Amino acid sequence: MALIETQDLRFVYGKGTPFEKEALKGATLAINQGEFIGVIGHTGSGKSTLVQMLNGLLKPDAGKVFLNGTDIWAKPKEIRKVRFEVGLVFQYPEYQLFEETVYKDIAFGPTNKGITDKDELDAIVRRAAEFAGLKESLLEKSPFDLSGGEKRRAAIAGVIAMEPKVLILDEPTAGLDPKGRDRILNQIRKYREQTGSTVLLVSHSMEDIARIADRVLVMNHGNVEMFDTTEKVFQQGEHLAEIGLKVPQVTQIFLELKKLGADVDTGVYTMEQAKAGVLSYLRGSETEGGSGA
Amino acid sequence: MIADITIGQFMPGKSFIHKLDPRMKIIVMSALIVFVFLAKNMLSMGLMLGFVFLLMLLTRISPVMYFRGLKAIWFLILFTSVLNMLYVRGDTVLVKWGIFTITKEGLWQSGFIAMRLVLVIVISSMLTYTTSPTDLTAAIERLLRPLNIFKVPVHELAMMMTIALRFIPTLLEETEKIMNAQKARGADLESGGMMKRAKALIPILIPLFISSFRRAFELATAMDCRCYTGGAGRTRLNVLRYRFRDGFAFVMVAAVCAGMIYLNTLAPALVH
Repeated sequence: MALIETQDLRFVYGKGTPFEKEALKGATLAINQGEFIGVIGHTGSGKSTLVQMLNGLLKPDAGKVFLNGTDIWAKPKEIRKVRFEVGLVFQYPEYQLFEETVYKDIAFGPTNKGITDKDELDAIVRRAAEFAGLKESLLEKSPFDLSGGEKRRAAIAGVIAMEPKVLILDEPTAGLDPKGRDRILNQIRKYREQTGSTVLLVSHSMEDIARIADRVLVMNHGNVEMFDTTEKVFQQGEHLAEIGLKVPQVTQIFLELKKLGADVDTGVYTMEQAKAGVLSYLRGSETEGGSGA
Repeated sequence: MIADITIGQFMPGKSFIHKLDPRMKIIVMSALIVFVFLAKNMLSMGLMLGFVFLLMLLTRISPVMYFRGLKAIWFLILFTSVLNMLYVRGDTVLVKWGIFTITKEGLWQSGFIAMRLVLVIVISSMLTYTTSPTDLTAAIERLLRPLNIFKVPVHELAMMMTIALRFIPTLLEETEKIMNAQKARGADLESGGMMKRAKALIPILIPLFISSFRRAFELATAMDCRCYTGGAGRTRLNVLRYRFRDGFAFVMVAAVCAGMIYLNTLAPALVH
């Protein structure tokens, strides 16, 4: 059974005003335990609306969300419990920091969850800080004295500290320098390896998605356009271009090589695969050339 | 929720009312509001109701939107009219029950008060629905310019108003974002007593204040970068100009007001 399932989700913003906008037009999908899903789609495609439905922040106008087989809106009063199971890190999460110290801010989520035992809370906060790559010495500082990247990681730690089964990150690397970006992606990968949690990563960077995701969910105009393995999705470069998206740069290079007549595999989306692809092509053409001479 | 607040909201459109010069709109709408209170009998009130209804149709904004504006104050309307109904004494007693007496005069008066309140809200909503905040402040700045003689910094006041109005939707959006982020961390904003709810606001207010300050500094820097030095010597990109339709609107409103004064004399007054 899938961990999260959605059935025909629909949502309209600003109902009854001149600003009415249909954000989701019937999204159906299923995500399994332990998967790493990349979510892509151009601005306004419904990605953010979709992820806010998965943790019950938005209530769908129609359709259902199932977590572990139960409808999350079956008991609307207990919707808060869903938010501890499905942790959502918003875009620019550093703007949600508010406590006097980083430590207290990370403890906000677990305290809301009802963890009162001091030692248990301490262990949780320190573990979350480690997962997010925050040094111990930063914990007693004010969150407003941290650097941009550190603030971002402190905010992510605040969500990880709730120990959710599913972690959703909405563009966690937006506005960071390459070093900060790599650091956050590596921490997320490490977190997932060590905890076995399910992770959803919304991103505009095809390179990031290619490097890290098992499956890719492509959203377009409020619909699920594609939902398949990373390899299969990035093989459809033209289809992606039609809906205003790109394939990773390496894949683009291989698609161009194919156009030029080189017999290469176009399902390449990481540097390692590209290296192997180029080498095998060169060896192949060498032997061809050898027999021809 | 937050998105339901409609008073002061601008709804872009291309109707006759939208296109009127904002200064003329402020002048005629103020005149109409004054005359709402000068209507003394059903004849003049009827003329006013009919005219405002016509204006509502002219704006091409759904009546539902006007109704939403009223939703916020329906309790006030109900309260004042019930109070009037019981308080005003007249000759023709309709109902008498204990200390409560309802007279025909009281009934008329409470109906009148309710109509006046509804009209005032509808007229002022009409002004803000059809005029963009920038136009509105430009008009206020122009209309208040005579106060410059008394050393009132009219331009600076208008600029502050523009900025405040401009940032209302931005801050509402920001508030909603922060609320969602804290809810995602399990913050409970919907239950508990007064103290608990007040405490639950801290995680929202602190980030909101910090981002407001950040925005204020950024805006100040951006204005400095574009050499903003206040009102002296500044010209406008879109200069306000009265056109034929503004004259037409003025004459129409003047005619309605004159008509109301005349109708007031035709029948005995119902309100005092």
